[in-house]
Amino acid sequence: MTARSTERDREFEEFVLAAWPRLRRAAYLLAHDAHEAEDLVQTALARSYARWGRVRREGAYSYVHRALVNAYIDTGRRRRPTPSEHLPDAGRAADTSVEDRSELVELLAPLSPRERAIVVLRYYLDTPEKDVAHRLGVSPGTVRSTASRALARLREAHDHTDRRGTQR
Amino acid sequence: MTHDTDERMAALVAADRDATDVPAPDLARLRAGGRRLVVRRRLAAGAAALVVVGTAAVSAAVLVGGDEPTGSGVATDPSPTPPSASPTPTSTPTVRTGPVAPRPPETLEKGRLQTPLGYVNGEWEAAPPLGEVLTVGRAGRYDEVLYGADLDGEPVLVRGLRDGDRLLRVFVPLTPQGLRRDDVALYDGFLLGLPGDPVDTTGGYYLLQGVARGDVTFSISAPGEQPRPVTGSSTEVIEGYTVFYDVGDWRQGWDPLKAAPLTLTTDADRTVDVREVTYTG
Repeated sequence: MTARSTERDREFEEFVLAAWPRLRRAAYLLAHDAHEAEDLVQTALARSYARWGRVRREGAYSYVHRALVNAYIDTGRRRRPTPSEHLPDAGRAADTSVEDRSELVELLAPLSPRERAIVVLRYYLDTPEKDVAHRLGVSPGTVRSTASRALARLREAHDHTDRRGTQR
Repeated sequence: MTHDTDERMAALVAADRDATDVPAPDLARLRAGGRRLVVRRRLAAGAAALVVVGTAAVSAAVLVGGDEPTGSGVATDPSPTPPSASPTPTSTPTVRTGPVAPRPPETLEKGRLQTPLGYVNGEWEAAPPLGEVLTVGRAGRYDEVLYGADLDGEPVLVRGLRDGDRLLRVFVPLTPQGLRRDDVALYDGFLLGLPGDPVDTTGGYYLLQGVARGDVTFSISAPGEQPRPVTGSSTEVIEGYTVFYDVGDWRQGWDPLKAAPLTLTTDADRTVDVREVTYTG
């Protein structure tokens, strides 16, 4: 291994170790499945490693965030349609054995893959609104309204739960 | 409303927590995955040239092997000559070979070939390919090829290198078994030929590979362009399936992080959005 590739590997490893917790969580927020999240992060980071020279110059965090969301959307497109009787409960996280539940997970659960990507990229990964719109092929208004609708739905769900709790 | 939304979302994000209780990253696996991607991109590097020399390369192979089986199962190095014709796509098969005896992959001998782009690791095929070997590119002295192989009794499409009469299995992009009628499985179609994550994609290209059940004729089109035949296809690579590949220039304005925005159409008028179906590993 040359000194150059050693240096490249060292930089990449430092980046991975620093980015890992947030990236891994972002993947879980997208996929709601620990195994799929693991695969998504592996895919995004492997792509980053393969292009590390350029990625490093252009901004590694920005690149890997985009790669993660692209991988998630691409994975969703490749899934074959599932017969309706086999569909999991849309409001339930698919795998909570490792990841904690949270209000954010709850907010994202009923959203479509594209809506989840919008919210995670914009708010969790702190991507500028116009970049999210450009990357996902939607208008800036859609970025805002997606989060707003999701919040309204979450509030409604909480209100419903509160009412049921009060009635008991 | 916007301000409220932003504030509420910021509060939800702040209340969430990063994944601290998940296994630490497997750095060796990540590097290995990245290196495999580099190899695949490098492997495909010869394909751009093949868009031009493809006809000549295939012709040379046909001269060597034609439609007749060869004793070793693959042709000798066809040594493509410079282009003498227009880069019109061709679907002419290269070499036809006999059936393959199943052999567990774990018994395959590891191999490594040195190309101008670095070493490529793989396993030497111990049995002849299932059918034709399609040449899709060139990596130094070696043809970059697509062929069918048996993996635990299942036919799979393999990307590999041809060294004389031997085939080095590099990776398996597609497994056609289970495809339903009218399904099309696709691999790659992403930006190749340029380092990094370029803003200027001049000189870049894509290599898309696919397989469908039955005898299918494919045409492909980019946005705003007329449909044209795919670069190459054959029904003789894996029995019962049509295997094809398509190589083309990466157009300015296409997102370098996404697959080429191509539309594939079959002779049965089935239309496939390549971005919706393809993947890369």
